Order: sequence, then structure tokens, then C-alpha cells
Amino acid sequence: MIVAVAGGKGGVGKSTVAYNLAAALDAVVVDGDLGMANLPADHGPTLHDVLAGRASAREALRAGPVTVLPCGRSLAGARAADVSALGDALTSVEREHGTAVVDCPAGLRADVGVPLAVADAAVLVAAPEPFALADALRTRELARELDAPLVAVALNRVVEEPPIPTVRDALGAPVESVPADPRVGQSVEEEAPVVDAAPDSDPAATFAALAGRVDSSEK
Amino acid sequence: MDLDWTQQSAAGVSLVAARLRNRRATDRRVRLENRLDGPVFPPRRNGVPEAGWDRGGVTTVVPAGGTVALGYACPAPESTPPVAVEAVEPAADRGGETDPATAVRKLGDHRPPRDVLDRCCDGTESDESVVAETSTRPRKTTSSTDTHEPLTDYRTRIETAEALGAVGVEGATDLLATNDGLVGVEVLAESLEADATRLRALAAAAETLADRAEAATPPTQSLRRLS
Repeated sequence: MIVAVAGGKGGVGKSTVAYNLAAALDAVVVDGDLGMANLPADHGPTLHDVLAGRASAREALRAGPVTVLPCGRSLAGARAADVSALGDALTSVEREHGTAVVDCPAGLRADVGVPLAVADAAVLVAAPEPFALADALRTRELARELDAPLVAVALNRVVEEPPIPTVRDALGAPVESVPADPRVGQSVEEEAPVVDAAPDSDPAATFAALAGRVDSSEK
Repeated sequence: MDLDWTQQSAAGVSLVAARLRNRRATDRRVRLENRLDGPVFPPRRNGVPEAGWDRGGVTTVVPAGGTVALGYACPAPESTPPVAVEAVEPAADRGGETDPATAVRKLGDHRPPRDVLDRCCDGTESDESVVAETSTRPRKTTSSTDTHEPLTDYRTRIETAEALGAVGVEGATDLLATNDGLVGVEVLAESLEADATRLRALAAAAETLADRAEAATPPTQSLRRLS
């Protein structure tokens, strides 16, 4: 299945949630942010090359604690990337690896729309603040138009008791709150997903619950 | 199903406009086929053809009692009729379209504008190396400013000289330090003279060119008659 992790607003932790959710689902995480890549990359081909027809999705995969399909970091690469090929790239990752989690960029442009259009499930990431919720609402509308069922909302970096009922009513999906924890923040950079690095921690339990919601949506 | 069409040819390409009117009380799906001797260039949005278009024509739904206007280009000479209704059938509800092409068509372009690339990168060929080696490879900023702003170097030297004259002794010491000391300033003084000569020559050349630009009149009228 293809899971789109989206959220409208930038900086709410979509990449962190996507990376850790992919670890919990034993999935490939695809860095879909064509203009501002976040997930670890090395010198091999990237999603930019895949979308420009220079490499296959399989060639661009990068092994690690979580298998990543990284994205290039150059503007020229972003310009050369044909976003309409993204659907096929995601489908081919799904065919070979079972589950692909897509880290969608902020905003509401085509590079968010294409993953949502091919996704079997969408997870929205929001910060527990009103202004982040407004963007999440817009993304939810887009997901609805593109037929991507919203399976869960991840409230990220929660410090105080979050307004879970309000968020659930506003977005119409079950809410999981990811506690603010430095291990989550560093997980992408250090390539240490919390479900592996700290399996007994609260954040690990949240990502496991999130993965459970995604899994059960498939059945 | 009523079909009105017009066609217009320019530079080897025919532009075909069609209007479909549905007099029935139900929505009808219509297949419109191009009859000109060439492929259809469909209308596009964000680079993706509009829904329903292919190389042979278009399939669209005309609402009950309504009209739909369509148009396309075809690299072929005009012929009559340019377009014909191939099939009409009741329009069953196909639901919303949710394929990636629809998403690309509807939503904004993700790509950074081209002029951003011209300003910050060497070109598309080297994008991978730019990404991988940003820290190790110095950017070629000076050469690019040279080509964009031919007077920058002169302006910098003149401004430095003016600043040296304007500041007091303390400030001058700092400026001396950043301009290679006393030797640097002596070199600067020499190059200022050369700069003045070159700038005056440039101004004179520019003046002459401007006069010639005003005087020159290409024979547009006669050329237009010939072509």
C-alpha cells in the first residue's frame, strides 16, 4: 500500500513522522519533497533522477535502518523532475516492497496532489497549535478530493495535554499524539528510528499505534 | 447533438473550434474525432492535456440542454469538415477523477522558476555534483557578476578610493588593511587613471552607437511587401 504523510504547513515534522512510521510499518520511506529534501541521502541516484527518467526507483533506493528513496537537493534537479511520473515511481516501490510511505512537501501543489491521488491511506501531521490546524484542514480537503482516505492525524511535538477531541472533530480522524522527545527529533539525522532505538518509549508506542491504524485501514 | 465548428489556418497549423449543443433532457457523452490530416494538439494545463483529450480527438460530457465549447490545434492544412461527432451515448456517472494527471492539472507547478537556476547554479548538467560537493567546491560568483554588471569592478575601485579620502586616519587604517596595505592603494591609484580613460572611451563609444541607433531605419515596409 501507499501511505501519504502530508500536513500543509512546513516544519511540523512530516519527515520525522514519515521516517518513524515507515520504520514501524517496515516500509520504504520516499522523500517526496522535490524542492526541499529532508531524509538522508548519499551520492547515488535520487528521486529527481527517477522522475527525470535517468534511473529506476529500485536503483535509487538506499539501504539503512529504514530503506529510503532519497530526493535530490538541487533546484536544477527539482526543475527537471516530472511530477506526473511520481505516481508510477511510487507504484513500483509498492509492488516490490509492499508498503511505501511518502513524505509529502508542505503546501498544496502537484507534488502533494500526486502522492495523495495514488495513496491508499493518508496520515496528516499537525502541530498542536491552531494555525497548524488550518493548514491540516486544507490538506484534508485535498486528500478528500483526491480520494485518499484519512486514517489518522499525528499531533507532533506535544508538550502539554493536547486538545485531542477538538482536532478529531475538526479533521474527522483518530488522533495520535507524539510526545516531544529529543530522540524523535534526532531519529532522521542519526538514522535511528525510535521504534528500534527506544522501543519502550512513549513515542515508539505512538508510532506503533499509528502503524496499527494504517494497517487496519487496509483490511 | 448539434455541432458547430470553425477553422482557421496559420503557419501550417489549423486551429479548430467546436461547439456542441445537447438538446436532450439527459447528459450525453460525446466522442469528437479530428478529421484533419494530423495529430491533435490538445489544450494543456501545467503541461498535462485536459481530461478526455488524446491524439485522435476528445471525449466529453455535454450536460442536458447545455453547450460545451472546445478547441484544439492540428499541424495540417484545413479541410471540410475538420471535426466530426463519432459517437454519442448516455453519460453514466463516472465519479470524480483522482488520477495523478488530474492532480498535476489542478494543482500548481512544484518546480522552482527557471531564473532561480540561472542565478544560483552552473547548469543542469552539474546539478548532482553541486549537491554533493557544495562544501568542497567554491562557487564561481565573481565571474557571473562580471558578465551581469560590467561596471561593477570600476564602481568598487572608485568607491574604495572615495572612502579612503573621506574617512579619518583611524578608518583609513582599517581600509588599508582590507585593501592590501599601502602597495594596494598605490596600485589602486594607478588603475583609477586607466579606469577613467577606459570609462570615457566607453562613454564615447556608447554615444556614437546611440546616435547610429537613432539614425538607422530598417526598410520594414518594403521587406513586409516582399515576404
